[in-house]
Amino acid sequence: MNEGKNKREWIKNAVIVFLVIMLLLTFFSNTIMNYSLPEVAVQYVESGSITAKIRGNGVIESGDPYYVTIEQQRKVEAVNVRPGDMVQEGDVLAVLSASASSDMKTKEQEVKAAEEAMDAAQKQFETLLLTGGYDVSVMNNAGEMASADSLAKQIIKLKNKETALKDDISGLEADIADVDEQMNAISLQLSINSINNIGSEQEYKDYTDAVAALSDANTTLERVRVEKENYEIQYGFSESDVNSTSNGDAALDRYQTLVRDYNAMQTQVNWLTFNKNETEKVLTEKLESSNTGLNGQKNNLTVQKNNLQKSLDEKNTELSKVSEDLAELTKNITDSSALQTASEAITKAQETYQELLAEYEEMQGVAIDTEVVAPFTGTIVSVPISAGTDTIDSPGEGKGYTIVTMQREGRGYTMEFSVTNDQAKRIAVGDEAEVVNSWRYDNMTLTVSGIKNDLKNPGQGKVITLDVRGDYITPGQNISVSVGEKSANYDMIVPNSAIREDNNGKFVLLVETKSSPLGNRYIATRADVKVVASDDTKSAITGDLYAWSYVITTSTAPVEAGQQVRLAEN
Amino acid sequence: MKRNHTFSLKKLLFTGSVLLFLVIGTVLAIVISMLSNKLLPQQMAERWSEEKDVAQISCFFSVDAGMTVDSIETFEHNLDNALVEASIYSTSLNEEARLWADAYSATGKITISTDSGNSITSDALGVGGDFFLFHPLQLLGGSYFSGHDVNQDYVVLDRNAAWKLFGSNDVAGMTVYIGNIPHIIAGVVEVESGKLAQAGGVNDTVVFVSYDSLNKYGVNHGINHYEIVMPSPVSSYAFSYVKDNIGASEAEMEVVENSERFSFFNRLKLIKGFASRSMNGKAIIYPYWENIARGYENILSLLTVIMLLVFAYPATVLIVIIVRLWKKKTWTLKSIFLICKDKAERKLEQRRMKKMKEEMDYEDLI
Repeated sequence: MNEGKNKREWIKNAVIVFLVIMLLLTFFSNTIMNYSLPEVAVQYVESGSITAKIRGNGVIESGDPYYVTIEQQRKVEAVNVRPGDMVQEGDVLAVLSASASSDMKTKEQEVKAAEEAMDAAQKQFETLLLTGGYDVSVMNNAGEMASADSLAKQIIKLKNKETALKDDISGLEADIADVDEQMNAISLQLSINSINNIGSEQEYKDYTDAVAALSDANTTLERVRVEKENYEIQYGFSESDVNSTSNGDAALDRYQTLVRDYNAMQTQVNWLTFNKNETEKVLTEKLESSNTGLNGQKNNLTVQKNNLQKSLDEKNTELSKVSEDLAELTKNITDSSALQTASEAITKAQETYQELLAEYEEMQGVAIDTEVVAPFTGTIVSVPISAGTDTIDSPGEGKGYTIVTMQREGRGYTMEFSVTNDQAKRIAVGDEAEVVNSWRYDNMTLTVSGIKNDLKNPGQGKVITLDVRGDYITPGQNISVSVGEKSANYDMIVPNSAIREDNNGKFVLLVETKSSPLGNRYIATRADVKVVASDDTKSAITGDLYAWSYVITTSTAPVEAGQQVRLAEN
Repeated sequence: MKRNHTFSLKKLLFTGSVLLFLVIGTVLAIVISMLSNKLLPQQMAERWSEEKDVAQISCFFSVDAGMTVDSIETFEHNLDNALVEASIYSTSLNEEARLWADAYSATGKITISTDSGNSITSDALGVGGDFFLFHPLQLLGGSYFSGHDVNQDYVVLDRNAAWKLFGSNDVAGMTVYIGNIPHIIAGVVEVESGKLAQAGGVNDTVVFVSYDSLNKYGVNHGINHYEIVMPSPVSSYAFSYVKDNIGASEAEMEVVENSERFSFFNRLKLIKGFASRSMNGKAIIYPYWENIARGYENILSLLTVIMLLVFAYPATVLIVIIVRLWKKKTWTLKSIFLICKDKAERKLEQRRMKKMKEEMDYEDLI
């Protein structure tokens, strides 16, 4: 009996506990379930604008570097400037040593040696003439009997002159050949010049586009005209029928349309013709001015050539006279081979001496100051020399040795940076760029001036050239820029974190509210979207959703469409 | 009376123990299933398509494999052709839907500094393709970036890196400097943590930059990971295709089919190869998530073995009971067959009688 009672007591307690637990679970079921739901952050879909920016960085370079050079190699005593310095016209850039460098010294010695060799050869000839017992029965210039001594001297003098003239003649011939070459080049250029290659890529493209557009329009116009005429022939319509009412007459309707189209097309053709003529004019004007310039150059060269030719003729005449005189003097002694050899040795020594002398004079010819000054006001771009060393060869257009490179004041700088093909599509010549952290650089303006293929990455990317203007620009500065597409407005914009993707394309998860007796329930639903534009933080989308929806941006656990979620606290 | 009592206690204990083992076994099965679904980077196939017609394949390369962005692009191009040849087209209504998506990454180190002078040198992952599609780390702010974005100068910081640099998680859109080049913070994420994650390679801070940036401005150990989710109309189609065409030899890479790795069959296979599991002859350094997944594979295999052992007991009991019942049965197959035959014949007979009666009635009428 007791046992039974205990058992019932136990069962009763168990049932009570069970019922209480069930009750609690029922009342708090919602809260409990909520905690198991993923928590999501949402964002309102709103309209706004997107400005996609392309970013890149590069080094500012001198757009137009000027090489300050000297003609001769000298030793550098002192350098007064550094890259980035601003200098005025006349400021001393560097101080060079006054003495010739080692090059000059060597040349000087060479000339001395050649001179000595020449003297030796002349002496040799004289000695040979004196001791060889030759018949020297030739009158000298004064009518007196020539002595072997003076004869030798005269022969040597004439030989000198002969060598010098020959030198001048070959120099003039080379100059004439040079001028000829230049004239040929100009003629070639003149023959190549045509409107197809005279303009810039853009100008030519504009022209060909205009021609193509006009041709298309003409074709269409012709087609419409033919059809119109057919109608006129077939139905006897005329232009005066354009304004009559048709009463459903299909043919008349069609004819009226054709006439209107024809007129409209005609107007368009006229406009396109005008456009084509304009673009063509740009090219033909460029062509004319180029040709005129070239012809002018050609005329100048012709004049130059004529002058050279005249000098050449004069020298040739002189040479023949000298050769005649020389032959006269040596006619009695030409049968001696020893004298012949000695005579030739003199000529050779003279030629060598002339050559070296000319080179030496060329080195010495230009007066070189010991101070090198700035030829204009500007900024120092680079300084390839340093005190205590010799100057080095200039890579610039001028020959000689570079002291510094300078940037003329006010002249622009450029900056280049590489981009992918994708990025290049969004940049056009003329776009403005901004410097990242622009507060550091006072009023620097950057404009896209060119888009060209990246030679280091052919086919894979392009190089953007920016024209840089402003104050206190230092070449060699590395800057980061961003070039923006024109900003555009869109109806639906969401943060980038809202865009998801699977094998059905991109989509967003919207939060839909369903009210239930136990409170609001939030269900995630899927909406397929297309991304039409995006920038660093948000994207513009189109799709099957309303502009006042809420999209899920982030969640504490993965969320699938149809799943219930709970909203984050804010 | 006493005999009944002890009999019932023994029986109670016995049934109790069988039920207990059944419960433990079921719990283990549930735990295994839950753990299998916990690792999101292994679940890309489910995220990509609801039907089971896609597979996720991952490749891990040694440095010798010499993987470059070029070789990956070549692979992608060839894949498109191969899918067309195999007549695999997108059946989605959305014309911009992609058949496949991929990602690759390299590990290394990178130094990031801010305008205010803070700077960290952190473990870094240089990523390309849709990396974050495969690794949807929880965003604490901002958003992910992708290799398909127009600009490639984005950074994603982890919570610790954001703290060290700014002291806050709300830093999306701000500028940091890597190699003196400004980069934009796309977002801040919570990286996996815990003992397994740390053992797997998640250290103090980790940041995500584009592969391009890691290569140019950081220390780049080379691309060691590539993964793709793609259609797989028959099983192992995707696996074989990737393995044969990715451009590295078997000695320089490891290929894994993520969608299958936690299946029952695979777990058993792991037990079979358990002895050689720790051996690594390929000089491959796995990214941290792969290390975590391998750790899970080990754990789950162990749990599977335990589960099978636990189920063995109730299973044996069940078999014994069935055998006993079989032995005790009073019927044989033949007797059952005869009874059925009998019943069928009787039914047939009844129908015949009914038919005959109807005919007679009909004749009567006429």
